[in-house]
Amino acid sequence: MTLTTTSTVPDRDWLSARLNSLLEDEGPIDPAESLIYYGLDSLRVMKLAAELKAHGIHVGFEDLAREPTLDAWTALIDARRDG
Amino acid sequence: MAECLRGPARVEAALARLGAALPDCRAAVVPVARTEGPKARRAAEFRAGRLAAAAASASLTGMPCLAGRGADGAPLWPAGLTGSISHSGGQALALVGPSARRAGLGVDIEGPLSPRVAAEIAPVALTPEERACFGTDPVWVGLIFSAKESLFKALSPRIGRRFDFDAARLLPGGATQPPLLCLTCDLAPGWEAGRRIEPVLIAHEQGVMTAVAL
Repeated sequence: MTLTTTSTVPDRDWLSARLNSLLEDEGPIDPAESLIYYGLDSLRVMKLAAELKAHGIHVGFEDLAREPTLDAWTALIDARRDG
Repeated sequence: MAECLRGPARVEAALARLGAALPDCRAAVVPVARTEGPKARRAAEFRAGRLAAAAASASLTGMPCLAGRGADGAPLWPAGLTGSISHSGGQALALVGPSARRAGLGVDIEGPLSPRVAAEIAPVALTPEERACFGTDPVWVGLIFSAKESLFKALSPRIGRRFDFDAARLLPGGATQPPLLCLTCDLAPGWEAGRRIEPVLIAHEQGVMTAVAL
């Protein structure tokens, strides 16, 4: 487990980088488009929720799955980090 | 307990096991065509899923069905039918049954989890009670994750609300009792905390296959 050793605070750039890695996608991600269309599946959503939890940001799977876009997830993470 | 199927037949054997567990329903698997790029892959998965649903429906009723697509991407079933679709590892699986007998169906397939991924997702996919009972064993983490996916697919349209992975937990089976999903909170009238639902749990060499039939 290397999750808890990362010091980077998750933000939009972190999320974007993680998504590019999780989705094995070569192109840029449209921030308003559903990530489902980029091949995001429930296991990957679960992995991301687990990574965020390891960073101290408690976002439920369902919080992420309800609106799976980069824009929505950035807002969610910002709200949880500041709240 | 969930049986771990071995041997070359794997998915076919798992499919036969699923069919035997739900004799009033039909399941079918269709391979997903190989494509370039995530969007083309998603479209190929969608097609394979709908073809699997048509095959399952043809087996059940003698007529292939054309499942529509709801706003949230979930399939819309023609009158008289209910069902569920899942894809993973280049295969699409559909489970279809009669809506007169089944209030909801959910099915899910997942590839095998590595011990590392199982340990990563366990803190979110499993409740503390489940982690105490099942640890981070990759097969059990996969089965529990998948069974909760199946529960969501079967129950969420029925009660008109979404819920998270902590809304249910898997109770371990015993000598005379299979593992059961137990709701941990009140989701809707008739679906209160403590309600138990028996999932179909099948582990095989290429991953897991689960179903929830309400």
